[in-house]
Amino acid sequence: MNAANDDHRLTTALRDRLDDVHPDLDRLVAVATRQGARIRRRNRLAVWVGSVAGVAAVAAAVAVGSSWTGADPSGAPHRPGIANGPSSSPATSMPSPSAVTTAPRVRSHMAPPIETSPVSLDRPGWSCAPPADEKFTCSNGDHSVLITWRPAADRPSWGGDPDKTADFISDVHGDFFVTVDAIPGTPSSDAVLLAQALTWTKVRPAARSAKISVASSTDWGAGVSSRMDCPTASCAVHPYSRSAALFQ
Amino acid sequence: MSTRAGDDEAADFEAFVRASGTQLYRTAYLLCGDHHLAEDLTQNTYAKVFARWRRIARADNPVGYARTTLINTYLSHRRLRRSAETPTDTSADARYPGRAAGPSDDELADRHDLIAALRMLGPLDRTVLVARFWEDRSVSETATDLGLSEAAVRQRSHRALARLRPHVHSLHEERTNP
Repeated sequence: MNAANDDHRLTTALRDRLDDVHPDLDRLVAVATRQGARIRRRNRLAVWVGSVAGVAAVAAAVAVGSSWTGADPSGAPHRPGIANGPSSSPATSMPSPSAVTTAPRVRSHMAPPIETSPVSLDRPGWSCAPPADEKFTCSNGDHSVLITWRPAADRPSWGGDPDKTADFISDVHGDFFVTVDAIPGTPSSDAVLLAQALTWTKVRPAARSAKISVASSTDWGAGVSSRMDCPTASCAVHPYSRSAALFQ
Repeated sequence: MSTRAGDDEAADFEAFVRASGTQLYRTAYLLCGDHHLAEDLTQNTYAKVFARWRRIARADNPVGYARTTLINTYLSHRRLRRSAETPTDTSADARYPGRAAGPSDDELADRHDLIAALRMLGPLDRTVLVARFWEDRSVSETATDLGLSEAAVRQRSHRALARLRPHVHSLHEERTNP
């Protein structure tokens, strides 16, 4: 008797037991198509909300820039009695709207990878599986965590819904935030520590497989890739998080 | 034009589900140990696949993507709903139409020993066993799928098999009376 025989027996036993198990494929197609279409609509809405928020941020930046120069687009003084600023005013060092909106777009004709995560983990002893369904697992052999990235527009609902819990819920970075969950058998503290070691990369929500290099991005501060540093526990750990107590 | 493209896409997706649905559903059943949960898991998986179908259809291995999605969804679902999970009522499961087609009581009992034993394992151990012995994935492929090291896959597999064996009547018989 050897292990290979046992393995073969288990495979055979599983096949024997499932031989006559058949799903209702018609129903599967109908329900999956309907649910999938709903997910598409929701994603489109999230992208739209994100775009509107981005445009609003740019408009706000332009407004602030205009007020610093004291001039409106027509060239007339914005507020009578306030002098226009000199050419070396802070506004000249602000990223212009065109610098933000014309960030290089990657339009490759090659088939892109299916999904690119906006976060990655580089921690000795830990390795991560390829992402699928906007999530991926990382493990060190004994312990595993599940990392899920979500549209920034969904972040508010993760701030107060007891049904939407995670061991770690990040702040919004660009268009996404992540939740990190310890897979049963893994301490929650591992999930929190790993979450704090995640590295962020800018990924466009509309084409999640394409990375953008951003020279100056106002909502990223540190640039293309930044550590998800959180100076205080309250900014990253959800009140419903099982790990919140670790920081108290 | 776009309607026609949408029709083509839906037809492609339907063909994909019909080709891969049975295998994926059986995998889901082994992971969940319950037909209703397995149906939910499979539907959720295919819904997610449909949402990205344009990109997934161009990929080399859409079935592999669907399988990874299924496993991720399962592990995620387990985390959220583990407090609500209760052992499946054998009689209720036997009433499910998918199995009403024929197995005798003995066959059902024999089947349930293995399914019930699988349910005693932790979700990751169960996933490793299903990947290795149902999906015929190699140690290396399983390790990649689950983000584990190969040593961890071997260790989990060995441990899970050892836990499974005493509870599975037919395996035990085969082992002791080859």
